[in-house]
Amino acid sequence: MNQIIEFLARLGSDASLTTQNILDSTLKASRIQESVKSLISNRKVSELKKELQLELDSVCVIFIPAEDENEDESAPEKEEPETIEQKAS
Amino acid sequence: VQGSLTCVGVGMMLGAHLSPLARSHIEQADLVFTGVSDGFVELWLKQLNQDVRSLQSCYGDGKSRNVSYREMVELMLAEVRLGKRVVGAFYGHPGIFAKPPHDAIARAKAEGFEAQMLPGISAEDCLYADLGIDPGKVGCQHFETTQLMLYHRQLDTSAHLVLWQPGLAGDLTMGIRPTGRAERRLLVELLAKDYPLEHECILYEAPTMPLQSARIERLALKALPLAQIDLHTTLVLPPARALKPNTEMRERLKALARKTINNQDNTDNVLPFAPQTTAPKTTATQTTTRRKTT
Repeated sequence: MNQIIEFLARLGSDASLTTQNILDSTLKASRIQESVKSLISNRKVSELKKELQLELDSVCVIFIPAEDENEDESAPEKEEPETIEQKAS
Repeated sequence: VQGSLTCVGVGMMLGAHLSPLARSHIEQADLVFTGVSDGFVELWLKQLNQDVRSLQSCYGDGKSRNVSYREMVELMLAEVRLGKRVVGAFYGHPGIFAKPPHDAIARAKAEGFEAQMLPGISAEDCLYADLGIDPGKVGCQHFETTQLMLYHRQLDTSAHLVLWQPGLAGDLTMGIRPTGRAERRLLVELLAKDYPLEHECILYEAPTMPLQSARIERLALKALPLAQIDLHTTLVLPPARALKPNTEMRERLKALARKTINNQDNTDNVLPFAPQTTAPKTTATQTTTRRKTT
């Protein structure tokens, strides 16, 4: 598992691996199991997640303030120009 | 030992977007809380630090996201109070459309702990790169979709419009499951007040794995209710009309330029409002106003 994640992270940081034949030759030289090599080479991300038994439906909701949070933050009528404290130079 | 909190952004793509400083904070932390969009990223962070704890468990069906956010803040703060160096690692940028990192940092500071935020590459950054949009060219408005629906906002159709979380359009439960076609029809109805129904929109998803490409799907505004829209999909509406020149301001600026050329300019009076009649006080702090940007 560690080798696979390391390889994927390397994919994200090594520009040469964006070339398919270099990716394949690097994969071939790695000690990653053959079935996973094939998934990486063919860019089968969903299948790769299943193979690694990763949670498929991670919540990736943007963490925004919601309506029921509190009265102060959701009352635009009361909104004043934002003030900032700034030290005099 | 004094506890501390550092919230870092891990960027959108595994292995590609983490800054050296953020990585160093993750590696040196006593423990790392994660709020990431992908199981691969979580596994990767576990290789950088031995004590990585996911905040995913704070979410729940039928549970308000606000409750989840408060729990996340509490989890992080509890460890800071124990004197630990805590890192909150969040996908994208930890301060953009992100409540828990801002709240946790403010709370930590209020309680006398060191706390800071380190930026990351956000979905917005990826969007500009993948769609070839320069927000400086004609401007760009950003809204969270449900907020746009719940409040009266002024849309500038000569600028790009980016709507975040259209998958949760009109969600009043603050939940974590996508809403349906009925809510999206209302969204289309709202947007149709400013845009033609045939206006081309873009559904965008930033790639989170080096093996992936961005999702860039173009469709007419009227087709949105039936489109495949997930939690991480972003909706982009390109400008519907050209910029309209402000002829009055242009003339005034030209006149100003002529004055400058003729050395008639009063350089002490460069602000577009009346100068103060009394000299400003020279104090240690000064309150200024700043216009909010969208």
